Amino acid sequence: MDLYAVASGYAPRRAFELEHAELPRFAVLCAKLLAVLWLATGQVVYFRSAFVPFPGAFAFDAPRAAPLIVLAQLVAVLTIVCSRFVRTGCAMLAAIIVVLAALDQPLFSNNRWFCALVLGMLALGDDGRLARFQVALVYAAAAVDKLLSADWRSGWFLQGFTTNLCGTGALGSFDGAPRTPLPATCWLAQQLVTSNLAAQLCSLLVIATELAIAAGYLKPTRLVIPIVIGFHGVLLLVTGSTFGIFFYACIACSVLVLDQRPRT
Amino acid sequence: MPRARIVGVIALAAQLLWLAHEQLGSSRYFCWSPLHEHVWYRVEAQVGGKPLSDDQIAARYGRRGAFYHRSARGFWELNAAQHVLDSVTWRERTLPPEQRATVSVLYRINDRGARTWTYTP
Repeated sequence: MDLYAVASGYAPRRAFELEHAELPRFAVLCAKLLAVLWLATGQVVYFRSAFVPFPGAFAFDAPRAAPLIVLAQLVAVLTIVCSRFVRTGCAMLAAIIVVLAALDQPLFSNNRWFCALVLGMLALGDDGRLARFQVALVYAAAAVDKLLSADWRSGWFLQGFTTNLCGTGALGSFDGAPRTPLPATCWLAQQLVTSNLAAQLCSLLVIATELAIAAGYLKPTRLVIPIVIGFHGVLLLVTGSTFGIFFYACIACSVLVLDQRPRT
Repeated sequence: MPRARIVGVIALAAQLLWLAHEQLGSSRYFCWSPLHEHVWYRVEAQVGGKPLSDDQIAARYGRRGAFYHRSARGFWELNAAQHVLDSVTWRERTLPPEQRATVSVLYRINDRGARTWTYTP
């Protein structure tokens, strides 16, 4: 391997370049945004030294692995942001996230898994189409799961969820410390509890929005961007939580619906 | 068809199959179901007849992101209840027999009726 050639592929100025031989500009932008957000939201240190892997047959402690895990993620982020090996960096970061997710069941979270698969699909290239299909699948699956739930269809879930949220404080208080609930949460809880019809309509609106976003990714339309920002913005307003990296990652991925023509 | 596209299509198809599989059970791992259900639960655990405190329980099972209601001694989280029960089972069965706890979980899914689940070493 020509190490000089590899090293010369890295340069700070590349952080602002979106041109890539195999990926369209907005797929590159999406990859860079996800990488930066991974760093900015502290995901690089979100793991434990005591691992309980799927499917729970054994457990192990690896306290000395922590610096290596952080270093590997930093190298992957740097490779995505500041090198011409964007796809390689995406593959590295996706693989690390997948391994960490598989190694610790208690820390499993949809938002980190989402980033892993989008990055994995960007690593495969294909003009960013696979990444778009991946995001479409995520929204469609979320909608179908809700449609199959009787508590979602009846509005019962949203009534209980918002009422509990109003009683315990914003989800941002999930460090265990109670906080003052958000006014929007308690207002919504009151509306939903006093009217079953409102709860049902609200549930259907959530499901319909997720399906619409999925469709907008399958057949790319720019309308997806304001819908995604509005949908996740309302979620943030009501819950006070970004759900880890999910809020940022979903908005970052919405650029995938922009021009996907590969560079000629 | 390019090899990368074939890999991607297989990955998407595998996810679809997994999504269908998870819908048949009570867990929701790797299948895009945020806010599937919310669950209140209280865990009582004893090792060798000695009860563990809530702090010890939180550390033992590592459920980060659960809201802890001190006066009710209960946790609230937005994951499937099965994930909580799996955390207990998997953690306990990987410990040496003498360190395993007898665990009882009282929980309510979506504010429905209370259920009790127990783990015996």
